[in-house]
Amino acid sequence: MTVDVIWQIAGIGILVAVIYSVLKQAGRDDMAWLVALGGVTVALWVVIRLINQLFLTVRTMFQL
Amino acid sequence: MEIAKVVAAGLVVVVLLGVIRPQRPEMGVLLSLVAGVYILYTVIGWITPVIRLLEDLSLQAKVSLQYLNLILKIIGVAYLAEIGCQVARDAGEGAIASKIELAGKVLIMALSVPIFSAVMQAVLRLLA
Repeated sequence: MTVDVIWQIAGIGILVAVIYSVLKQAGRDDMAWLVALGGVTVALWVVIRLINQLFLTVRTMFQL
Repeated sequence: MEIAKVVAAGLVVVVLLGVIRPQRPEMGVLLSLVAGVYILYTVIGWITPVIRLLEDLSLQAKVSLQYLNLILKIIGVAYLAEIGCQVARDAGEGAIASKIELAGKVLIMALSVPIFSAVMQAVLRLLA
């Protein structure tokens, strides 16, 4: 669990925001929405693995 | 000096959230969750010696480990419930946050039933 995960998620967020507005300007709203959805799923994948790791640590730590 | 790392990471994430949240609120929620998990990881690192100390003290004081395990379990439940509740409230979902909080409280009460009965028996033995 290092700081890199924060930069990954922030990078994905900013990238999705930029691509979304670019595609919106180009009039391709459906593509823009798909890109936003893709960005969210990738970020969610990373976050879920992270939360799983945290829950395992807490479980071993507090004998939950 | 570890506190500087945590504070720096927190402040950077606050700035990033200021950029991301207006554009993509859902990414903002994910980013705040990741930042929270990172800070909690450093906190877990600091808690381990305290837990070791508690275990040694309870061994010396001949307090049965069952109670210490229960206290640790309750701290763990409160810890996790707090994570979920804060992230949900941060994302603007007050209803879900209070439900998570309620679940945490009920579980802690359920976990502490054996202690209540032990205390009751001790008190009754004193009175009788």
